[in-house]
Amino acid sequence: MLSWLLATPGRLYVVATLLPLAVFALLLIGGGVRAVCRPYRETHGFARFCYFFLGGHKPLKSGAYLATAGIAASAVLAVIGLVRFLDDSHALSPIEVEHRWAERTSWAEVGATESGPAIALDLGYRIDHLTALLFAMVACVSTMIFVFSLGYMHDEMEETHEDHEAHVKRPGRYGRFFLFLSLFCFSMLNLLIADNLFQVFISWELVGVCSFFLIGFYHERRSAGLAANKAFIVNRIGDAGFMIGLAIIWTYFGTFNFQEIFTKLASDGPPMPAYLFAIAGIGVFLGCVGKSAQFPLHTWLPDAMEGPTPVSALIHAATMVAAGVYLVGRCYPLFSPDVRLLIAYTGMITLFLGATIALVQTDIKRVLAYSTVSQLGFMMLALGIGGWVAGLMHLLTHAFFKALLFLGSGSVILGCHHEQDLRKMGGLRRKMPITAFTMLVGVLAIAGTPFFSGWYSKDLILSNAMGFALHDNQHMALFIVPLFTAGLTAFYMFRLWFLAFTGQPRDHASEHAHESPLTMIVPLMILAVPSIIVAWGWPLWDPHSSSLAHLLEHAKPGMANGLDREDETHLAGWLALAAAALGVTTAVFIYVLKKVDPASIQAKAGALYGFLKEKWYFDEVYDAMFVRPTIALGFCSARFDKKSTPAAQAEVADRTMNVTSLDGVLNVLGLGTLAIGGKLRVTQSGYIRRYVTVLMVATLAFVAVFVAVYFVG
Amino acid sequence: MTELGLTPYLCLGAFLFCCGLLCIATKRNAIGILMGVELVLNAANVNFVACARYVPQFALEGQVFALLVIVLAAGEAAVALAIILNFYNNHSTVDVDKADELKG
Amino acid sequence: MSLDVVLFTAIASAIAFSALAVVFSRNIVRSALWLLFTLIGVSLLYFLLGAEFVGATQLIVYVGGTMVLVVFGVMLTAQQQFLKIRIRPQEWLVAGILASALFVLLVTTSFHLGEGKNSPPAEPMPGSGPLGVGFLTQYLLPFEIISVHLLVVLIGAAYLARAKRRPGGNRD
Repeated sequence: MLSWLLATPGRLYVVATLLPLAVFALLLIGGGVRAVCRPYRETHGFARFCYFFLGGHKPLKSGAYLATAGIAASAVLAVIGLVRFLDDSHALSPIEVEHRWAERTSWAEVGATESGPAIALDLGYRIDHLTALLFAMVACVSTMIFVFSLGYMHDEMEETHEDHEAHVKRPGRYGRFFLFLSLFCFSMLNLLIADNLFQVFISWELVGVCSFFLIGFYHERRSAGLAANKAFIVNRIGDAGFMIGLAIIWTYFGTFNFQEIFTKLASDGPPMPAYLFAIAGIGVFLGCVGKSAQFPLHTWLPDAMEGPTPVSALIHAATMVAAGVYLVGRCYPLFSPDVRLLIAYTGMITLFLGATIALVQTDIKRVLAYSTVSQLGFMMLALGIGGWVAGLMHLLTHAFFKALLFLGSGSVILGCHHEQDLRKMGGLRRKMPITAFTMLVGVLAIAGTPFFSGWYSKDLILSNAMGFALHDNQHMALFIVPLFTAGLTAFYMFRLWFLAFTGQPRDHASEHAHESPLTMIVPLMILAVPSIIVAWGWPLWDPHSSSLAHLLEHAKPGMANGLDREDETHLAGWLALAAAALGVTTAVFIYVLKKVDPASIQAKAGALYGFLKEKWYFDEVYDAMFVRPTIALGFCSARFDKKSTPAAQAEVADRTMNVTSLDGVLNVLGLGTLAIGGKLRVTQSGYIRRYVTVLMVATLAFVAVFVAVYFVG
Repeated sequence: MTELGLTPYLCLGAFLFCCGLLCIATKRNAIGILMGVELVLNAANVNFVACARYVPQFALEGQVFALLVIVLAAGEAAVALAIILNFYNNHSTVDVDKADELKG
Repeated sequence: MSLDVVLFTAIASAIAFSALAVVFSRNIVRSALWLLFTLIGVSLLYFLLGAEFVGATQLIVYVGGTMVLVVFGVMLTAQQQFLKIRIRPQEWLVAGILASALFVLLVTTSFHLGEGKNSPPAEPMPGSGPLGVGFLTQYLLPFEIISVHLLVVLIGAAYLARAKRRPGGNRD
């Protein structure tokens, strides 16, 4: 076992990926055994032992510790792997690195013929700079969030937990939470190390289903159930595109392996007609649109905030939603220039949309959710205009500070006794100082304050955008809109912070707020550190010297350069800084100095306010465009089925044979079979001699036919 | 009719076959039914061996299959008797009319 | 009339009579006895046909083995009330008519099939030597199948007939 592990250093990553899966399996088996033993705990001794050994009526605490230990071990391995990989990539040639850090094995073979070899679906891993960095990020952030959850989900440890929103009492689900979280971590890590699209797709669906389970974690609440369904269904739309893309790629390349596809593309160009290549690219991108909550499929992400806050932090801010951006970055050579432009514009619309909606939201988690949508838009935009490094670097930095912000909001929510409305908070700075200042770090980072990690990545994105826009004046919007949005970002983030932490408490919940326990504070403090320093380089004041960016440069696909303009004057950076400063100043004026009353602005721009408050009416539009027609179609079909029977007679209509309607025809089939069977069963008398008599008649008939055919005629 | 042809043998086989069927159809005793089955099998065997004698191509085949049928009949009798004994253990009877729990 | 014809007539009538007796005797013990005579008659018929090995096997396996089994079965289950259970005359009638009709048809077929085969060929039937060689060469597969089949029957019969506790008895 150990020798297998040491044979290639890349297997560190395999172990780190499989650890959460092992924990998941253990928890699942434990929970399953407990559930099986539960009915027999009074009667069978062994069942009783198993049941109480596995926690009895109370949720099992040790499962949560096990899960946390598992992911922590993964994080340690990931950091070791990162260090060793960086060493190797310095010292060794690319071929040796490839040999040491990539492996694959065929999993299922199809279509083996004598003439040709089988086409194999592979399982494999391949570590490059992008994977190594993201893997370390995901594992570390997950560890922090697991530790945070130990405190945040404390309520769930009770034997009977009362859900105050759904007004039901139920057993606590401490173990189940960590069960799903572990499965999620495995899927996410597997997605990162996968060396082929098929493995990515499997993990893609697995993280999707984990997200579904965790959004619906409080499934007694109707809103949580609906949000889970919405997230899952909207993602299906994206995944349909993804599957189309996969099918085209499989048909024309005959492999899913990234390196093989890219080598073929680089040497021969796309082996398919241009329009199919574009469709494949758009298909894969559509999958990313769904997962990364880009316009027009962004509506699920804010609703996903129904899940517990650590889930929002881990899945719906730091990692899973970033998977779409990661995949766009990974499949970059698959996108033709037209598709890249589409990506850029999608990102632009999304970032503007998210930021404007975030301006007026009052739920603390929804502000953060829309800010996530907006930041994901930044990443997509950067990738679309060729700023590959900028986009993925923003993905990394964003993961840290957004996780920090979400965990901070979780701490606020817990401190305020599950109050999420910003209007009812205020003055929390004195009640929960550590939460306040760690969150301030996050706010500063996302707003793009110099020397915070967000500054480096956002600066890089904007300088790329400026270069692209100056190169081709048609696309000036691709620079102007993000610049404006950078100001908006600074404004709404400071609005959030000022509303929550400064001034006087506006509600009794915030009056009686208290600082959170140590398990929640420590992750906040730890996450605050990388939120500042993760992108640092030397010289510190030059955003283009970020060491993170230089590391990512190594993994950059060949097509992504050429658009990244060196900006000698840092004009874009200064403009971005000015926009952010303007945003912060406005926020200070409105919410600290109270020079302008927000209510009066609301009154003046009532229509615009309503428009933003209702999230651009996207849900309503989708409701009118897709949901209602679908339901109407359903009713039409039902009418066709039952010939519009009143509800009272529907029961009867289900049981009548009526050949003029579809249901009636089906009833004829079913009930007719039933009636004939009822008649025929009488012949099953149970008397052997009856059967033999029938057999004799049949034999007689056969022999008679035989004689007639062969001897008489 | 100075020489013995194939026809008398086949007729005897047919007679045995019909007796077997009649036996199966008219007995209520499970063992009686088993006897009927034995008669039917013997009818088939008579035909096999007779054909082996009269049709040169079948000289070996006819005997081989007659032997196989004899062995099969032995196995069949053993299993059938085991089933009957089981039935007798459970129902204290060998009347097949009582074995109607599976009827429709 | 040759000796063959005389012998055949005698044996065949004996077989036919005892077969009818199997069907018509009211007592199951007597039926078993008549079946024994039928089987012996059939084995004599095989000797008459020149198939000595088959005839011998018939005697050993059938008469010596199977019939003993049947007689054991009869004795194990022979309680007075089961010896003479009978069915209704109408059912007798239906079964009888059907059986006779079938017999008529089969005899018709026999006459057609037996046309032109009035005397047996001159060469004798292959004896046990060719049969043995045949079983181990050309008919190896059926031979093996029947061997495995017998093993399965052995196990199955032993399993089915093993002594079991009566339902309602003390369990667990």
